[in-house]
Amino acid sequence: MGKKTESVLRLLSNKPFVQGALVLALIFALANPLGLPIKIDPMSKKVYDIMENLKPNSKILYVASAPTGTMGDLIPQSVPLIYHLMRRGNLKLFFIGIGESADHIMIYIDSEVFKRIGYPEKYGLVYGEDWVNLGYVAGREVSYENFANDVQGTILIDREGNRVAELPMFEDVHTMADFDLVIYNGEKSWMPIQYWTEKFHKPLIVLTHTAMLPIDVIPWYTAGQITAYLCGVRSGADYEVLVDRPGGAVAALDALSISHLFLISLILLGNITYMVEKIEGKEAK
Amino acid sequence: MAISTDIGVWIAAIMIIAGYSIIIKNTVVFKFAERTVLGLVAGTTAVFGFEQIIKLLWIPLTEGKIVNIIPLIIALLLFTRLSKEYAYLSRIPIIVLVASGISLGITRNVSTIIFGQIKGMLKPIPTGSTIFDIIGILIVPVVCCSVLLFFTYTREHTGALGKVSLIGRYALMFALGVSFGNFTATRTNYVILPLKRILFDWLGLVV
Repeated sequence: MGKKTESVLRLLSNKPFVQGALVLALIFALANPLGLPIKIDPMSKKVYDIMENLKPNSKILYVASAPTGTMGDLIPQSVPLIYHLMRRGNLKLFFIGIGESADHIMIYIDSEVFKRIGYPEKYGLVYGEDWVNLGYVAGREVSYENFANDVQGTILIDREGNRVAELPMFEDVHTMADFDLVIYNGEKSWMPIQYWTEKFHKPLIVLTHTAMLPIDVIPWYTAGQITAYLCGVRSGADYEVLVDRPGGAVAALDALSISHLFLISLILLGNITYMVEKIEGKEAK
Repeated sequence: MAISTDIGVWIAAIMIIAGYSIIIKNTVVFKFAERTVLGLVAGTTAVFGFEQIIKLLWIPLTEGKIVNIIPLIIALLLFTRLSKEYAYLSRIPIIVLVASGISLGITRNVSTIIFGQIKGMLKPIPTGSTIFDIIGILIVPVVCCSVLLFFTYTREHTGALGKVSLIGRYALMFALGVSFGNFTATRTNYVILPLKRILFDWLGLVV
């Protein structure tokens, strides 16, 4: 193996170097945005149109169900989407965290999403009448099934300590059949499909992170079991443009492009080194 | 550029930097951040768990819903693990948990995952479809069958079976490649959020 090839290989297999270079590239891109044009993905537009065309007083169930670690990819979509729902008005918004890791993401929605776009009251929404934070429900299959069949019996008390049965919003909400749309922010999208939307024939919008798209969303979408989806920072940026409120996702998009270029260049470099190594090996023989 | 005066933002920024110090070396700074996060998560989870017990079990029980005594007893049986003599009783809550999950899972899996996905795979070609749409629709059942045949080991993969299973192998490699690429992209996205917090929230960078 030649000295140059060896040093390139050593550099590529040096984890601190690769990770450090990636972090530096991201910092540079975040601090100096290139302002690359954003081409709206048809799927983001589809989600936007669904939200725009919701009938007045539609009941939207917004479910957070994801590990805290995935929030870097999930929150950028949640912010413009929730903003859109609140700005539109005339909707009944039910926020809930369900699943084994959803307790943390519910805190995050509260502190991060609302902190950035303002609490629903800012948009004229009244707690208990137009929006409600149902807090967190532990468990998986059983919780999903129970919630679908008896919403009030599964929740009992909301995040603010109110009895849900006493809230005006819950007058005609008893089962999953009473909701008009489910927005699922997280992994394992087959869970709401299995227990909620297929059984009660409800539309489902999934907000997923990039890694889960081919295995967790596309098969269900092509089979017609998911109505539409948003995916990662990219969709978040699309949605920010659609709602005319550029924010964190748009700011992160350049950094994302730079990071992809960085990774592609590493892959190319790795492959070139591999080929050079092979040729050098042949020559040596 | 104005540095934040919010103590919460400062703590978050210091913890992020401490967390990313692993890039250089696994030092006491990283270990402190790691253990703090673990402790914090464990503490929050415990609080949420306790809150669930109060909300769903204790309050209804005190209001006369006597039937709630059954899940309470089942849950308490978990603690019999602490005694060698009665440890076998701890199997009961585990059985209840596993059985309820599996029974619900199986019943819903059949209709959603098996029938729903097969129905989606064999959908008719809509009128007005382009040649690319038709190819796309046809690829799905072909790939599905070839992957299933790839995992069939009752016969040697030679002849026609070998050729079909080869398509399955390539399809699997393609799918795994796509998954790997997406996972790599996601991991990068996870880094962007903390960096934004440092640059914009903490250091007050305006771009």
